[in-house]
Amino acid sequence: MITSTDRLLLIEKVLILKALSIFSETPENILADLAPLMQEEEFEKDTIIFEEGEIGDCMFIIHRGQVKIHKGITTLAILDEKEVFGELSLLDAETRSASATAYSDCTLFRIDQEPFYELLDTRPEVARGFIKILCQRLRAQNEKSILSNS
Amino acid sequence: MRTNRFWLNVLNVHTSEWWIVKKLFWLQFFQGAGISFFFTAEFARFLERFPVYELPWVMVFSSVLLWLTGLIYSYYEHKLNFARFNEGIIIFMAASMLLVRVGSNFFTDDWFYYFSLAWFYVLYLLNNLEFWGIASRLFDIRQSKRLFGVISSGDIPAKFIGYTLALIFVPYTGTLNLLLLGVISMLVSIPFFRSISKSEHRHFAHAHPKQRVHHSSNTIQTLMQSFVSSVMIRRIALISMLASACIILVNYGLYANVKDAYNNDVELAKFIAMFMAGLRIIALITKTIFTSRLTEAIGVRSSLFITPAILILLTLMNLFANWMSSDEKQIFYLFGATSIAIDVLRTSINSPVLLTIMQPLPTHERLRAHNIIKGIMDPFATLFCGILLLVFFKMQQEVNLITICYTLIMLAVLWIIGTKWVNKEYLNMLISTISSRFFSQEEFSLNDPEMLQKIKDKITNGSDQEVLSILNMVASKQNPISEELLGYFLSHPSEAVKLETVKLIGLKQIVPLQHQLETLLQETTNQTVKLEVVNAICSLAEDQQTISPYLHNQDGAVRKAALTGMLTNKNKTIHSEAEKELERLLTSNERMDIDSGLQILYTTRNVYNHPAHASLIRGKEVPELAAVSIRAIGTAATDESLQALLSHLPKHEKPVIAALLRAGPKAVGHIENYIDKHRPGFSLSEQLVTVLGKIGNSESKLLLSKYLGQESLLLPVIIKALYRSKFKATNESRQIMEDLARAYTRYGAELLHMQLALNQKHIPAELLSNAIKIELHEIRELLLCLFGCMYDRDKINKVRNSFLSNQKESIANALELIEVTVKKDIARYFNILFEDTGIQERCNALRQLYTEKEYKNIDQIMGRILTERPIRYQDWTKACSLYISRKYGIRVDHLLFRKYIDSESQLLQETARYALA
Repeated sequence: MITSTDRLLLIEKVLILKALSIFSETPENILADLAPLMQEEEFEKDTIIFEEGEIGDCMFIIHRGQVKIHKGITTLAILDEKEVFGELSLLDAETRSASATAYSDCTLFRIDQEPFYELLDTRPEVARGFIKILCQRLRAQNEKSILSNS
Repeated sequence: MRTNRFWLNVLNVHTSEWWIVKKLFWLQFFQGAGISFFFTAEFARFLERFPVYELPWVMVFSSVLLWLTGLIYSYYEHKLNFARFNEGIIIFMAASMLLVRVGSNFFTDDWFYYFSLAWFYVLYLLNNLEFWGIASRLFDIRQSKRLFGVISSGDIPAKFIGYTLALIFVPYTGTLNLLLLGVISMLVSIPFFRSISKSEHRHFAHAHPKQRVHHSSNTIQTLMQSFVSSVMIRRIALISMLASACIILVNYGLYANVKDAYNNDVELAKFIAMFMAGLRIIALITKTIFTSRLTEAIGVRSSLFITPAILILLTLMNLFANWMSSDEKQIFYLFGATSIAIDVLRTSINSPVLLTIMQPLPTHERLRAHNIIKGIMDPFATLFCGILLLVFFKMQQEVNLITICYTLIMLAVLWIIGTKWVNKEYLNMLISTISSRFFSQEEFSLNDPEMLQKIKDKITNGSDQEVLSILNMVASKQNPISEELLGYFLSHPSEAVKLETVKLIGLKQIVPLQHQLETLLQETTNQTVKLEVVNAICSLAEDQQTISPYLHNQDGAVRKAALTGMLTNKNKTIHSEAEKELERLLTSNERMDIDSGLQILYTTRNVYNHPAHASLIRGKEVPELAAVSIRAIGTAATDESLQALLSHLPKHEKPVIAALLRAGPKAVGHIENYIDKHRPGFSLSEQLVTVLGKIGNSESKLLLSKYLGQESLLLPVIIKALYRSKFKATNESRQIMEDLARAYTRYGAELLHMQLALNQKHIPAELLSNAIKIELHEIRELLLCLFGCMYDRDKINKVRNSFLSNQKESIANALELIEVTVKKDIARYFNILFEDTGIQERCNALRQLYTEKEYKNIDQIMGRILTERPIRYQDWTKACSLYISRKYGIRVDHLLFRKYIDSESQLLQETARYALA
């Protein structure tokens, strides 16, 4: 893992966040509070980002490159740029359900749980944004299960 | 009626409510009198013309009419406006009485008599529905609980006076002209309704804007569902129907006798009026004097047996009298006594107790149960009795009182069985309700031995969660029964339950349980429970001897718990000893002692604060303890502690702001002084103002409204804080708020013109346009906060949620709501600004509001944003302007960038440096 010294501006980080599907509905002024928590990290190809069973305490955003999500040798998904993984670990410290490995050289942004919690303390709007995202997912999930049942 | 403080206290009516209660009383008085006149006249006329065995046909006919009326009423109730609908009902009732009077001159056929008498039941139902509809519209749920008793008692004297007047008038007017008196009485009630209706908006719409009763769009289906699915509702409905049927049959027996005893209609009318008046006055006396005392003494469940038991007793006496003698007068009087007794018992005991029994049902279920009883079961009882009496007559060819008596006994036995079922279900429901949700003791009385036993069993055997729920209920009121029950909680195997109980005993200072606490202390092995028990014992102890073993215990934790308890002890000697010891700890040179003292202060932060706390907060003696000391700030904080706390600003913003919030109302004055004296920066001021909004007491609202009148960059924060504090605009602040609302709509119009100019397909324009969209949302939010403070807060909340749902139809509804809630000129521009149409159309419609020059280029807009005109833009919007000036080479005066280099915001500071680089 290489930590990048070429820093992005906060405003650019906000624009990156806004481009992600999970934050596309969140206003930029709220994302501006989240952006300072993004730490840029670079991973060389085949580096393990985290392993299945580890306690998760951060989420990752793929800025450049690809990440493989796998259980042992079984690949579950190949994630591309502007995709996010481990986002629920921002809210609860559960074990990771799968491993993540850099599929190519990649640059990720990492957001840790602890500073995120501190941010929620002072900026309830961020929490509101996140709750909205979770609600949307829950609704989508409900609709999906209704459809599959019918 | 003289407004007398004594009587207001007796009736539990607040001074501000007296005017409406008075008007409701007169409204009901005149309508009640009108209906009494109608009933007296029509009943006498019917009995004079027909034999009493024709009465069942009226019952059958009226039951159909009642169902139809209920259905039509509930359909139109929600379709028409409140004033128009209710005035329409009153006029309809008066007109129908007049029509009956006029019609009786033209229609002399039998059917008209049947119809006229059946119409009485319709009028009775309409009056009931209308009156309670108005009352529930005027009062919120808390007022309803307090006032409905007074208002419902008012119904009885109204009817009593009505029947008394009928008795006085009938010899002079004749029976038929009583109908004209009825019409006049109804019409006289209209001015009272109009006055209520006019004042309703002015006095109540703002104070209690939210109608707590939400009507189902599918009423009948919902009622049926409730009936089918709820065992309790089914059983209550059954006994209510049996009660109604018994009353109808007893009255029928009486009327059969009356018919024989009186020969002409005036005589009949006089008797009916006298009988009804007597009935009402006895019911009033019984209700006000005996009902609550009786239910208190024997419990609600046993009270339900009184009416059917007395019915059986009196009916047996009727049978016995009939068997012993054939004196018609004696039987007549006995039936009269039975009728009065049962009617009185039903009105004054059975119905109120049934209402109490329904308390554990959720509010909506309770309302439905009401509707089922009144709207379905009562007409059903009338139909059932009508058919039954017709069958009897067909079989026996006469009105046989013996058969009626046997039927009454049978129904009363069923009533008793039904009551037993209700009671059984009531207990189960009550136990499951108090084990699963918060249930206050105000909602029912803990005086039934069987119920108490069930609760005790549940406390002993229930799960932790269930028992903790019951503990909440027990804690809601302090009385000897609660104290007894608390003892049972201490025997529960769960440590969590024990812990909560001990806390409650200490908090509520329940001295009689001290001995049980000592026993628990010997038995428990759980250290947390042990310390809490020591705390409670020392809080309750009345002498030093009890405390001594704990205060001088070898275990430091026990000493600390003892000291904590002593600080809340009401005995002055014990309290001051604790204070001295705490002072010793807080001013000690030993770090461990200070830590202990601070831990005690943390535990007692909402009930006690020590003067030595202030110097520890300042951190002069032991600086590293300042943070721990700040944590020990609570609602009991002294002025010195709060001053010391504020000395940490602006450095330790986060813990200080949290502590101010914990201190609550006491912090308001200190926040005001700090803002006046130190003029803090934007971010800190924003947080302090937000704390004021969260505290939300009258002082903080006053302070915030004072800030509102001052020119300040903090205006948006102040407006939001005021809204958060649930501020209601005064005459003075309303003017300021309306001016602000107009100003913000104007700013919004300018931002919309900016958006129009940025309506281009290139990145910098899109970026800035999105930022301005956020600004417009912020303006919308501020306007809604202002509207929420000035107008109907709940409606404005609905508007906000509709906007958040972001659906075209919801937004259209929201704009409609704004139209009817907000002052015309403000509402008009708000709606144009935020309706879901094209920017160009909206800009055209807002031309009158925004008359400045139009924006042509992006650099003009960026310049306007960076000079912070006309509003203080969000950091994001300013950062976007700075960013795109450099990134996309759009030239803006660099002098505008400089002030952002020293901004408190990291985002602005960084982007300004980038723009200037």
